[in-house]
Amino acid sequence: MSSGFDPVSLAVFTTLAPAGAVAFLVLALARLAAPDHADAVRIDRVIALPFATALLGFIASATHLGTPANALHVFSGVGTSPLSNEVLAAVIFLFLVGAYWMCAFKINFPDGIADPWLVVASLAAVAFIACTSLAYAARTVPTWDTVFTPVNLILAALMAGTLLALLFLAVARIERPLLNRALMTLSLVALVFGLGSLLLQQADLATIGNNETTALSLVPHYPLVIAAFALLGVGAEGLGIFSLRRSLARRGRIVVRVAASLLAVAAVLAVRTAFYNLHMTVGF
Amino acid sequence: MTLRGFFFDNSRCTGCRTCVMACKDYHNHGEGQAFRRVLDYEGGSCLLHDDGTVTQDAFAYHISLACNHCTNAVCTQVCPTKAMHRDELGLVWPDIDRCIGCGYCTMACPYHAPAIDQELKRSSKCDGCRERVGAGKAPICVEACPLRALDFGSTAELVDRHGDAYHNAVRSILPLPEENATAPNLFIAPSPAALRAEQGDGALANRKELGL
Repeated sequence: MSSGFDPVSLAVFTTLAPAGAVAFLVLALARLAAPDHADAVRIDRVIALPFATALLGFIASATHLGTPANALHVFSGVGTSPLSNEVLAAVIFLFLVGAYWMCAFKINFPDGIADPWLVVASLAAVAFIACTSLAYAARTVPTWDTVFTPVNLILAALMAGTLLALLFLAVARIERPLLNRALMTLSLVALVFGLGSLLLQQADLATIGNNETTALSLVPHYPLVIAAFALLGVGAEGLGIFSLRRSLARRGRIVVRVAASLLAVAAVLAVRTAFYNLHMTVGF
Repeated sequence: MTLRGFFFDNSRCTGCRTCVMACKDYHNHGEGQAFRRVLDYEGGSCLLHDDGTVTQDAFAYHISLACNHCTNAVCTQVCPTKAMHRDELGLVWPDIDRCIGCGYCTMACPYHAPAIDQELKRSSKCDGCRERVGAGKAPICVEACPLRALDFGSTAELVDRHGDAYHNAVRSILPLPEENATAPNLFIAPSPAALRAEQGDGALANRKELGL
């Protein structure tokens, strides 16, 4: 007998997929604001990267299913099950982005199609992040059914997703100092607020318990996890800021941003893994 | 739809686990698999006084627990495929042709009733012995109980058989969740020990056996 929940695959999913969606959002906005067609084409090619990031997460989540053969039934719970809402939002987002990427390979892919497509896909990305953040709103799980669950997930996705976007923009040879600085600022702000939210959650955990256990006893190491999130996050932001230096060659910039993205993903992964350890019900 | 549920006389239960074994036998369960389990709840202590005498306020009781086929069943609400559903008999169980084995029901149920069957790769839990109930019989656990501590039926049937005991029944004793969590169809005649436990110094004594 087992719970069927696999914290590792779900932590990978909730780390990568929302961050990939944020990175896609940034690329889509950059594409919509692209000053010339050559820039737009290079962004179109690179959209494969946030798509792959999100898809990798989605595939990781499917590995914990006992019987994936029945997966098509998952849409019958849309509207009642938060998990169905999440899967539907994920499928719509991945379909729109994947199909866009393939269609954009057509030479002279018209902006008249690309622009509205990207707007709709961006809305799908927002819906997907929102649905993922609410996927654990089960009223009998007091440690998950709190405001911190969606807030932590969204801020973590913003923190890591913007750094991924910086990397993908460098790969696409898009150099817009103003956009880069805006993304760095957003990432930093998300890290600071994310840390604040985690600290508030740590305090809130002291008020949660059931007839047998306390929430704090489930994650005695939570302060350490928050510290790891802070340290890895600060490292990621430091590398991100360093990567903005004009003196850096493109290859060096990419290497630094890969390192920044890996640190950011590791920071989020630590918090997401702790989230699954926080499971308890209102019973015993 | 008529809802059905269990009546449990907490004072009668000796924790013998005959219900657990009958259930395992009837459903052909292997090691580590159980739809019905017995919770041992214990507390209190012995006090050695200055004059050498000993007094004690120790208490212990048992709860025979399976799925409560809750009126407000959270497992059916979180299930993404609607595999976990309530049938025409009012019983809640997972349809294996729909279940993907995601485990959300196991996470949400505050009674730990569903679990992912490692062979089926799907959710499995007490279905109230729906085939027996459909044939007008009692679930196997009810029939097996040597103390007649367990009963099963519709509200009308339980009122008919238990009268005041049913009307005075509670739907939660420690360590079960509050009644309003899922509105379980579990009607408990609490033992004096369960009332004593309300003082708050008790705990589950068999967490390992329960797989918690």
